[in-house]
Amino acid sequence: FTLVVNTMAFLHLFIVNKSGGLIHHRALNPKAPKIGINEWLRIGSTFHSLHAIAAEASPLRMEGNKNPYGADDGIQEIQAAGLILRCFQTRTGVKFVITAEPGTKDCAYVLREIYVLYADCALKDPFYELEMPIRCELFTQGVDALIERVEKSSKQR
Amino acid sequence: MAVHSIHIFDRRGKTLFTKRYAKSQGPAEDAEQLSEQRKLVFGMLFSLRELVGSLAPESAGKNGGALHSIKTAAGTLHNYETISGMRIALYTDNNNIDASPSIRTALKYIYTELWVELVLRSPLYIPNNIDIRSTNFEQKLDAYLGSMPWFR
Repeated sequence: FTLVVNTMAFLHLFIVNKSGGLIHHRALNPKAPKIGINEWLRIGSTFHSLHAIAAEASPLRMEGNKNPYGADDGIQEIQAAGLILRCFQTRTGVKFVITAEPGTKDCAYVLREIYVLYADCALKDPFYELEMPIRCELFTQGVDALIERVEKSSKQR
Repeated sequence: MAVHSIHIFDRRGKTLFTKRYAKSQGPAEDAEQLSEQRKLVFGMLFSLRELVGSLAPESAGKNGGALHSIKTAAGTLHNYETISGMRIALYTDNNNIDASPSIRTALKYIYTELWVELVLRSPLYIPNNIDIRSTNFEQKLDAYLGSMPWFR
């Protein structure tokens, strides 16, 4: 029996495109484990498959296998002993995934804000190709500012 | 919250016990489809544990990847894993998610008080060839789950 102290910190963010390829990954905190690029690619595609398998394996099924947002149903949240993982899939099949320490709140909110940043910084960038890795400075800065704002406001609470 | 099904797997993926509690029966499924679904559940639990383990920080220790629950829009899978690699997986729907810690306690109880006491300590126990029907495990399990406020 391990006592898990409920601290709050976001660990990793990764984004998977609709074919399962990883288009973005980064650590949001020095506490996050260091993961090499090969392992990241593996994590991205494994998660992509397991996301769909979770909906298949469930004895319950949503109407047309779509969740209330109109996207295909799949893993929304995983609670594990050492971390929470939260996934937001858009109707176009892009999955935004964030991991955090067990005590972290607001994961769903942060993911939706990251989606807004993706739409504003990556999709509106005329040089960004769809489904390709995201290398937009504005997006990275936006995510940094968002995480800082959320962590600061949760410390004040 | 309604419990829909329970599966108990051993460390190699063999299903030791499975039961559906569905009140509204889904489309009629034959035995092969059900066994396929069980393999999917085990495979998912196995691979997800590895995935989560590689993402968990070092402060979580060696068992950082131990899965507690997996939520989709359709329902939630609650998982309890023992050190011997046995997994108890329980499917519920998503109404009343506050019951999560009590579900975990219930799964732990099912292992320590029901499984260990009634099945492992049964004089007819043969490892690798467990005969559940010779024990009263299922009746006690039904009674225990039925007494939970979140079981409907």
